[in-house]
Amino acid sequence: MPNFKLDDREIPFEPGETIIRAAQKAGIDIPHYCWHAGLSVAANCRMCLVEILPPPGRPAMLLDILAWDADKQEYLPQKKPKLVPSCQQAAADGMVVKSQTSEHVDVARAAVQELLLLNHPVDCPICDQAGECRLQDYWLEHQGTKKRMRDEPVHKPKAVVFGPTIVYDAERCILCTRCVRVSEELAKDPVLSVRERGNLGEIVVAPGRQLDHPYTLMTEYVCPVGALTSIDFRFKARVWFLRSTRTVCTGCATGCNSFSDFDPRNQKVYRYRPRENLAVNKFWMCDDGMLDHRRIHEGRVLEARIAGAAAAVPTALAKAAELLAKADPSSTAVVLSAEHSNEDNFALLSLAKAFGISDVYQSARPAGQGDDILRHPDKNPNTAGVAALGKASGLKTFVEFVEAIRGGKARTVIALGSATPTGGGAAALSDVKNLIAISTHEGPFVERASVVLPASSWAEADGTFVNAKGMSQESEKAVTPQGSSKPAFRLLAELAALAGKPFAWKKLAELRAAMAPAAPRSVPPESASLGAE
Amino acid sequence: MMPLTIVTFLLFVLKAFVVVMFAMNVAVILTWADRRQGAMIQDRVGPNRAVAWIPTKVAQGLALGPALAVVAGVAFVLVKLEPLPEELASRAMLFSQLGILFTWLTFVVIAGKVQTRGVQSSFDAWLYSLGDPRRIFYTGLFAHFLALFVGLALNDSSFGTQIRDIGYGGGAGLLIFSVLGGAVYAALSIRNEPRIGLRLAGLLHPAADGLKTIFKEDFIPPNADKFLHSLAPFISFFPALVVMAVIPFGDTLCFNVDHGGLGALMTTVPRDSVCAAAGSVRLQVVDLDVGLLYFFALAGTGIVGAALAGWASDNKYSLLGGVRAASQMVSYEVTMGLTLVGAVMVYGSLRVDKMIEWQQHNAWGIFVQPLAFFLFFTASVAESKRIPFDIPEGESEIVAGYFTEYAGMKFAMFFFAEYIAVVTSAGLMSAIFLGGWDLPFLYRDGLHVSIGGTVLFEQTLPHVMVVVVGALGFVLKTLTLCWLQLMIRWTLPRFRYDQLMRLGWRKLLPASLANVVATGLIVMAIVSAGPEVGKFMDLVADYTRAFVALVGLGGFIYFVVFLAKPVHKRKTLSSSSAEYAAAAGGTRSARMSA
Amino acid sequence: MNNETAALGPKKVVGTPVPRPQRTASVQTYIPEIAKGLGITMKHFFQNTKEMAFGQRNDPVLEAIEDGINCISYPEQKRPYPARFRGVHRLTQRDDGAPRCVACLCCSTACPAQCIHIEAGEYPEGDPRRGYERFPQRFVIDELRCIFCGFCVEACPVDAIRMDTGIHAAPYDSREQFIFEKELLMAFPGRDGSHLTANPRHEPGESTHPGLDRDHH
Repeated sequence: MPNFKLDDREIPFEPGETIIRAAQKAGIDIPHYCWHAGLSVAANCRMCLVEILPPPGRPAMLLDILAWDADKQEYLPQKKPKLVPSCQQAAADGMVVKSQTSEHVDVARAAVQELLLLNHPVDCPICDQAGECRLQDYWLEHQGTKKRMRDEPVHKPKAVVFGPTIVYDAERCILCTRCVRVSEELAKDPVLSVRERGNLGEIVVAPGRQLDHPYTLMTEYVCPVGALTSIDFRFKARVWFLRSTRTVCTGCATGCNSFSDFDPRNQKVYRYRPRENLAVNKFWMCDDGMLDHRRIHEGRVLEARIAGAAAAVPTALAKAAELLAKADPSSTAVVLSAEHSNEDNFALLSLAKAFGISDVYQSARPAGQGDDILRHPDKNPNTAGVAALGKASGLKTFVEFVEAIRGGKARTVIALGSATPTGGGAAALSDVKNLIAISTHEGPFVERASVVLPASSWAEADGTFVNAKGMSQESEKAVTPQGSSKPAFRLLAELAALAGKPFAWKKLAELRAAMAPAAPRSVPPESASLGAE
Repeated sequence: MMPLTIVTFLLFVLKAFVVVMFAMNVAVILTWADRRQGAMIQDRVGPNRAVAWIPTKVAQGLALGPALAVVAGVAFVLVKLEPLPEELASRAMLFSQLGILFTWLTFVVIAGKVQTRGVQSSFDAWLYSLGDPRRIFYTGLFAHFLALFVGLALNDSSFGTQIRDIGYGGGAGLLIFSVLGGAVYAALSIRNEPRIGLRLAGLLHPAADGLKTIFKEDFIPPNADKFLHSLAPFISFFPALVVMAVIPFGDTLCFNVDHGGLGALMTTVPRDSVCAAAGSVRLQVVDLDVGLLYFFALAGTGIVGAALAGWASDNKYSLLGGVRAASQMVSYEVTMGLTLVGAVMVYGSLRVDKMIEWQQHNAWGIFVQPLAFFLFFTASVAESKRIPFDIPEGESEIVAGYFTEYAGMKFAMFFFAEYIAVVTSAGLMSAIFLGGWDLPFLYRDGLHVSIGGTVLFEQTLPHVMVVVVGALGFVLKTLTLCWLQLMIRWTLPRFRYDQLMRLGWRKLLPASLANVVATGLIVMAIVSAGPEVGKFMDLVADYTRAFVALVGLGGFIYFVVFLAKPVHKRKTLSSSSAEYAAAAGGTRSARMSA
Repeated sequence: MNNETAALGPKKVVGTPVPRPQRTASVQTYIPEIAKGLGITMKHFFQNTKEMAFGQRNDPVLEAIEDGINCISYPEQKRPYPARFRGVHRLTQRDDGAPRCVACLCCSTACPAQCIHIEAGEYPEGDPRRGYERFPQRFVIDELRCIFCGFCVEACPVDAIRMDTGIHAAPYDSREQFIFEKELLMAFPGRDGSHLTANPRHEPGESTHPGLDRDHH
């Protein structure tokens, strides 16, 4: 692989890669605003300028400038090397690049930073970006001086609502056009553009339109400053209070990699951020997925119920064990769920095996819209995983389950999951005599269940999800289980123990070891740093 | 021992009531004073916010009423009780001395008030023009001595008779004038106040505090042993209280025997007489031969309360405190007992009243057993678990020790028990080492100032007066010792636990053993020596009396001079808050009456 | 000021070595030392008791140079708090009476006692205060938890929270009474009686804002 030299460090690159991308892959962050690995190169922020030494034996490209001499108190002609935007300059073998070690680069970065902050309102206390703002970080790293301009800065519109998800503040905008390029290149919906020039420039929505394509939140995500803020997250939390875990989006079968940002003090997930995985979602997530974090806290089943009345979890477990013990295995069925992780489904399968239940069905959330960017029509995160696990037990569909109920073959049912797929199946659930629902959310199962056991959501437990491409991905636990909920596999293990047929495994690692032969090999979460954009 | 009759039973109840009220009230005052003294040392007012507001008219009545009563009493004595000729001289002396005393006292008090508050009337101006209030006191003192010497020198002469008549009438007149004048002055000076706050120098505050603790939440930890937890404060409280029973608080009262029962109180009794058993009333609740042993037996029981509280609270701090309390009290109990062995050897009795009688006839215990006094004092401070021996409470280490988990009145009972222990130990010490109700040169028949047989002054006094003065002396001694314990608390830091144990076992205990041995040898030597030595010892004893009397008198004079000394202070503004205060006119006018 | 310019920075502290007390027999036996200590305690006791009883004390606020310790008999007497006293918090107001606070949570971040709870909100579209953007929907200080360190005041970037009320934390009957909500905090004036802030910054919508440079839409 060819190499180039960046500040005395050899950086390997693939032919055609730019300096900034190769450096980023090597773990060196050359300061930048407008460049994004997933977008086209605009090279308009000038923050990533680097000095490239001329090839040996060739003269350097020098510019004539006038530099202020403090001693002589006058401007004197001087030579300065021409700096190059590293985001645009393709790397070449043997190239010598100076970034941190060049005083010219230092001066240039400070100047760019000062220019960008010239008309900036510096309203960091109000701004939601504070704490993760490039302007703040780079001011500290590369500028560190006070504002020299004494004039009133240019005032532009603030808190302009761009659409149902995004609010725009023109004063904070540095016109890097990342948002414009996201709309154009990712969402294929060129709804944003720049109007005016220089310090009057601002981002506008196309006349008659709103910023309402399915990837609007990516504009906020790529915005390096506080110009674009999402209505969903705006003013809800301060980023320095948040901690992140590596999770997998459970909004659809794509299985986008994400970070769950939660506040450890109140154990609440405030937002998702895309996590770079070039094999799955590259750098992006859709709006539906980004907003899916709301489901962690909305519509949840947080306590056990027996016949619709609230009960303690141990009581409900005892009741479920009693129902299970009395049930005839031939008229008993289990329902796996594509909403739940492999671990949960495997635990239910183990239970079925222990009690000699042969009928295994599957529930899922209804299908939805998809596109050829990221969104998958299957809105379940683990359809492929359930299919693989249930193959040996002859996994049957929900339609067959409804038929089984009608045929009286499913009088006692242990069901995982909260939702039923499209079609009139939900009503049939009323005919199940003893329905034990292990659910995260309110839904048809919970409404009709004799015993409801509150299961933790994906954000409250470690789990493995297999996406539509058959990639098995681990998602990490973010917050502690809410209410009296517990991870479904724990509930099932306790249920099995109460019913006198305890599982062989006790810990999650043991469960995964037991599950390994049946499930697709899982991929540990991509170890991209938590702060990556 | 008197036969048990209704009368003796009632007397018993009365004495028990007196003793219990004495111990409890002094304990209450100490609780207040303990907090308050820390404040005094730091120059600020302690808790004295409890106040009863009384209307000005009532306050004026309270000032004038007693004064009028005194005036009426004096007038009654003058008019109705015609003195016998031989009594005339002593009456004249009494009246003139009292008159002089009240006159200068009134003037000094008013002068002090004027110095503080400023001149408000022409009388104030005149008093202010006299200058330093000490001058008034010196004049008064001079007048006392003058009256005394004139009275003694001119006794029996014709001029003396005239002087005596002047002293008789004039002294009484002076007394009436000063008492009434002071009261009228007080009544007039408050006439413009809307109401008068009765604070009793802050004494209402402990009462309010006590009332408060009764109404406070009584918290028992959920896992505590509820019965023992509730029992412990009582076990700690009552032994501390009942040990007062064996301490006599006054000389035996002698009654005439009337039909086998108690008759009228004898007017005077001979110096060395013993009253008839049927007519004597001991001022002591129970009359036990084992007196001291009873004290030790019950004082030791207090340990159980602390240990029980620590155990029953279900708290590791409490438990540690309880264990510490138990080991500390057991350790110091040994020293306490052994130090008194020397005293018992000297006095030849375990009965506290016998000990006091011995001291009255010989010398105070503190002169006979000085080391024992010191050791016993130290050990009794340790027994009452007070600073510097408050390891069982050790706030810096174990929160509050054995009463960590107590609240409300139960907490207050522990607190109270501590102060009652202070009172009882002080009472015992004043009985054993400071002569109890004995005062120098005051004998059963009156005052006899004599050194080695040379009589300097002699005055027969009524029996009841001798007993009452003696009892007051006992109270004063007890209070002084209590005060000394509080002072120690405010001076010394807490010992470390190992230091405490080392002090107890390796210093105090050997010292008390040495004291026993030394005492034994000396007692044997004196007993086997001839009568000359006995005479010499009597002379020394007389000198100790004179010493105590002179120290007391000198202390009193010094104290009054100290009080009357004016104070000059320099002031400066040295902070922004001081500047704020100066702008607001200072805080001097704020109420901070003690 | 001397003709020599003083160096910037804190003054150098020049210490004098204190010799260890000599361990003589009288010190090691404690008793003479205890007696000495008792004597000092008693001296102070009598002196102070007398001066207090006779009203001869200094005015405790006007501090004496050489007449020993000088305490204030709180609460009978109250010393005016010094100019920079940190009292109960207050929230300053904008010219129109809206809270100056922008709910940035800097104070609650800085707070070592974690006694500040803020819920941020935003003025709806069309509201004349929309330009203020962010304001505290709830601003709660648990004065019982507060340790009065003043970090919140230091941290505040917009001079919205101050501790210059001159009110010290008062004892109340119940815990709930220590929970100070926004309305109460905004009701406290400063020691100068004013509710206004010294922050020179003005958001769009405030009368003092210079306005936009061009017409927009």
